[in-house]
Amino acid sequence: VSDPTDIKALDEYLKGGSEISQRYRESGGEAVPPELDRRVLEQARAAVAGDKAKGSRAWLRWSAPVAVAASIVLAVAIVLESGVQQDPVLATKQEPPMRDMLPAPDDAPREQEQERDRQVREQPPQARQDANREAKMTAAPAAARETPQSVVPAAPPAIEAVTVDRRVSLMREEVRVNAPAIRPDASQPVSGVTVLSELPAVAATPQLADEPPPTLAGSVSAKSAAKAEKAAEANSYDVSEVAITGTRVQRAPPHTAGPRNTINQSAFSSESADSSAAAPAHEDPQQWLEEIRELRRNRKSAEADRQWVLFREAFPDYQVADDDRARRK
Amino acid sequence: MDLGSVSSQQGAASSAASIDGPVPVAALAAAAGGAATDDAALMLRYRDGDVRAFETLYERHKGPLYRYLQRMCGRREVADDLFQEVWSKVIASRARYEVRAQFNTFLFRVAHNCAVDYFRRSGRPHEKGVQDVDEIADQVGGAEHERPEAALAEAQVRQDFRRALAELPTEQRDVFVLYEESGLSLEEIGRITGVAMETAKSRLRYAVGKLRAALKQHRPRSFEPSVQS
Repeated sequence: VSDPTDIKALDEYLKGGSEISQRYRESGGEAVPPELDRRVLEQARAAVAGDKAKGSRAWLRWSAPVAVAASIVLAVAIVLESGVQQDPVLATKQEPPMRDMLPAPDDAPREQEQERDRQVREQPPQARQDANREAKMTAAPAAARETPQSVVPAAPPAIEAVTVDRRVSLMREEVRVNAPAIRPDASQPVSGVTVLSELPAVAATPQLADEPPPTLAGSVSAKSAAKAEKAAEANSYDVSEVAITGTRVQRAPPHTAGPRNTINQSAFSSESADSSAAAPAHEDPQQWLEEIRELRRNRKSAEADRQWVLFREAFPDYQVADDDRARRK
Repeated sequence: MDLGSVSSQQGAASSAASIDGPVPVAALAAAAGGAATDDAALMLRYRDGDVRAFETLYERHKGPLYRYLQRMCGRREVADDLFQEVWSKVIASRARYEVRAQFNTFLFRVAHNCAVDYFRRSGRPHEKGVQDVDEIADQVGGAEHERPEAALAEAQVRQDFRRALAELPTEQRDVFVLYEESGLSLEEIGRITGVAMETAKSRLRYAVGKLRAALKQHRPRSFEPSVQS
């Protein structure tokens, strides 16, 4: 049972300003010692500093994994963007023998000029006039060919490259069939490998490569033709050489193949000598592989397979990774 | 009567007064309006790394908290230890702090729990304050020295009041000191002490009755309070 006096006293106390409250405040109490203040505030500061240090430590803890992950993402992006590249060591190993077989780019036209001068000197005056006329006519298409070649970009569009490659491959197949019947002119300074390597240059200007030079065929003197034929018989037969020169040889009768081929070859080699510096497309097996990969990326499997076969024939020893996209599946 | 409003006004005033001593009336009124909100905001700022906010908060509450612990434990050394322990817990819990109640409620709940833990550890519920005559004489002001009898009588009243306060049962003293120092309502005090509001009110009533009785014996007959009539 509550005492009514206590209840009244409590009400008075709860109103505030009662004697009990006054006495309580007067009794006071000691103030907080400064040392205690200092300790508490230091603790508070240390806690905040610890938080900041913990935050930076957390960043350090995550920095290494984040860096590794970023590197992996970057590497994958680069690989996806550029495709699987061949080992450059293998490519450089393969290239030097090919280069060794090539004559110096500057040597080919010079040798051709020397050969022509020698032929002209051996010719009678009438034939010399014909030869001069022929030289002028040869120089004109060559100059005409140089102009578009300088405009042709180093990397032509994929479709054009595929078309040209197909044409070249058909050329090769044709010549391979007819090869035993043909006696190419081996006295030409350009070797078979040289011409092979210059095929893309022809491909860069297909309209010129396929266009037969009718005025050139048969315009060489009989003496030079006989000489060329003799030299051709004396030399051994090279399939790879025929594979390039055969398209034009094929059109001529077997007995006239020598002179025609000689002329074609000279025109061809001057052209290729000019264009080799401009656009050496399939001289580089790596580039060829890239084109095959591009074909596969464009879902042109048949063409890619054909190109792969040709590539293997042209570069049988070139090492290609087993998982390379260019390979035929 | 609205206990909550009374207690909050009283508590705000007392906590504001504890910062800088005498505080102007306008400052007290402002403190009564937004002290609780400010406290929570300060604690949140400290949680986000603002040490200055904690310093303000500490300055505002260190006095009431220290007095509460002193009254509860009776020994300065123990009060010092508990005081530091309470603030350590406040600092440690800053990351989990959420504004669910007044900061005062949070702070004094931590202090109450620390005091209870101390009583459990020490095995004694409270220590009775004992003051000798010299200590009482030290508390007497200079003006009162000029009238030694009056000063001694005043000191005796204070001593009896202290003794009465110290001799209160721990639960009653807890509620009384919490009400005086924290300025919280009886409902909040009940929440801190883990009892219902009515229980807290009952404890306060008993405490007030005993303290009133301690003061009554020093009072002349003519000054008997009107509540008895």
